[in-house]
Amino acid sequence: MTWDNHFIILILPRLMKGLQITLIATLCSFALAASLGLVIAILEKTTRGIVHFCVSGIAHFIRGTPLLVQLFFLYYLLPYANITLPALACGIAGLGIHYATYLSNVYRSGIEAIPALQWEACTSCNLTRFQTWRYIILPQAIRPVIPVIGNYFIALIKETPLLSSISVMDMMGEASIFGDMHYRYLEPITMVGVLFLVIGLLARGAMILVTTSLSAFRLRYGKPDNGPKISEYSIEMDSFRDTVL
Amino acid sequence: MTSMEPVFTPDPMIAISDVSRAFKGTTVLDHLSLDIPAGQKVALLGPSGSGKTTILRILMTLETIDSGQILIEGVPMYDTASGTPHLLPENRLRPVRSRIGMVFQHFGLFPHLSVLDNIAFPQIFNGRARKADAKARAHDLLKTVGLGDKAYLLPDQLSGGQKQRVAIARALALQPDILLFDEPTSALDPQRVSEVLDIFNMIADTTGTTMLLVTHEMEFARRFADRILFFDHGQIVEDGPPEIVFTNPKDARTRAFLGLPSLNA
Ligand SMILES: Nc1ncnc2c1ncn2[C@@H]1O[C@H](COP(=O)(O)OP(=O)(O)OP(=O)(O)O)[C@@H](O)[C@H]1O
Ligand SMILES: [Mg+2]
Repeated sequence: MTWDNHFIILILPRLMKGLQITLIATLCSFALAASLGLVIAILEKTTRGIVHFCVSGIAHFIRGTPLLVQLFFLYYLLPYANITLPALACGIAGLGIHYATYLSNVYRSGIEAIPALQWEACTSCNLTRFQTWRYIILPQAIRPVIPVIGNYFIALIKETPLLSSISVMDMMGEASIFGDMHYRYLEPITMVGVLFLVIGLLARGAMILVTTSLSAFRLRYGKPDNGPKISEYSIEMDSFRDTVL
Repeated sequence: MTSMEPVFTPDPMIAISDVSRAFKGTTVLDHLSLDIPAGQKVALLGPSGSGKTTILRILMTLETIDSGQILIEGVPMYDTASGTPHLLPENRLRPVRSRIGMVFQHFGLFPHLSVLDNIAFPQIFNGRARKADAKARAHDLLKTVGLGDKAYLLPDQLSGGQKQRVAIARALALQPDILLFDEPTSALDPQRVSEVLDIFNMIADTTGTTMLLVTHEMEFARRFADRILFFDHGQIVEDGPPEIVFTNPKDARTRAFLGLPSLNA
């Protein structure tokens, strides 16, 4: 089988349609994962007894079973419970919930890194539970784990082709349909690979921007008298590069 | 006739009544009772591990008690109906707690907020002031503690002594009736110590706040307090004005701690 540019022209329109679905699936499931993960982390920290046991039990269970199994469950078995969702919705829910259980661990590590004295200082200032979480704990807990969350974002992008197994017409779905029709897989699959590479690079670039602007924000915040702490800034960037790139 | 008239005795600002607390079987507070009238400046002294920090933490509701009751100007902190004391539910506890402020030994400033916001935000969160007023007050307080030029720094950019004063300003901003200080001088060099002493005396003179302070420095305690409590094994072994406690304590452990000759020697 030799490379034939003709097929690239043929498949490009389909791949662009698939790309849209891939992007929608990525962004929606990541938004779901990021918010649901935070909810799980907070629930794990604030509940006790049976509720706590249920929350972390379910999270463990989801984390411990394959994503593909969960996708099949949502797509093929939920209809028996009279819940029929479009394939894309199932895919977003499956991917989002699966990654929420990973991200809850990431958030939790950030939350647990906050010294007990911070909580006690909130009590001594008579803050409500909500104020304590919203304005004191979470801002301190989330910022240092943003690079790790970014890593999961990139990992999540690369898992979206699994959605084609429940008939979501993402790039992978389009490419395999095209392959089946023309008995030609080399160009479609290679193109999908290249596109994922490009998306991944763009996502990494976006993460560098996010992290840099966060550090810059911090610099501005602390600046008026002492000037920017350049050394700390570059350390942050270095450790960020280590974890992300 | 006059003997039949009820005598008006105001509730003490803090009433600790028969409080015990044990950690994993080790008794830290042993049936402790203590009344502190409003406006008093009290210094708690005693050997390490005698339970001084634990008392402050209990008053700040960071630690609970096994038995007894604590009243803040007559208002209980614990529900004792079931026999064992339970902290009041959050909504009933907050009004009591809002009367108490604490300056921690390691400050506990919020590292992601500027010095100014550390002082302004708690006021806003508590509904004490709106944003502009809270910030103006925070600026004033910073000037009072001699940090007028540090408002926009982050806490990590301050020295230990400066953090200490920000923590004091943060507690003061909420206008508590009771202020608790855990070893406020441990991070300070001798010159700063007298500055902090001046700030404390200024607080006492201008606000009449009841102050409870744990320290290891005799000289500081002597110059600060109206009343010295000497603690050992979760009990008060000496209680009196500094002139008496420091020069002629009756308890053998206090005498030993102060390096005085034992009475029956
Ligand atoms: N959360 C806790 N869990 C277990 N033990 C504790 C806890 N808090 C305090 N203790 C114990 O209670 C005792 C009294 O502690 P506390 O901190 O009140 O002493 P202190 O008088 O403040 O001592 P220091 O002068 O060294 O600060 C110590 O033996 C300590 O180990
Ligand atoms: Mg202590």
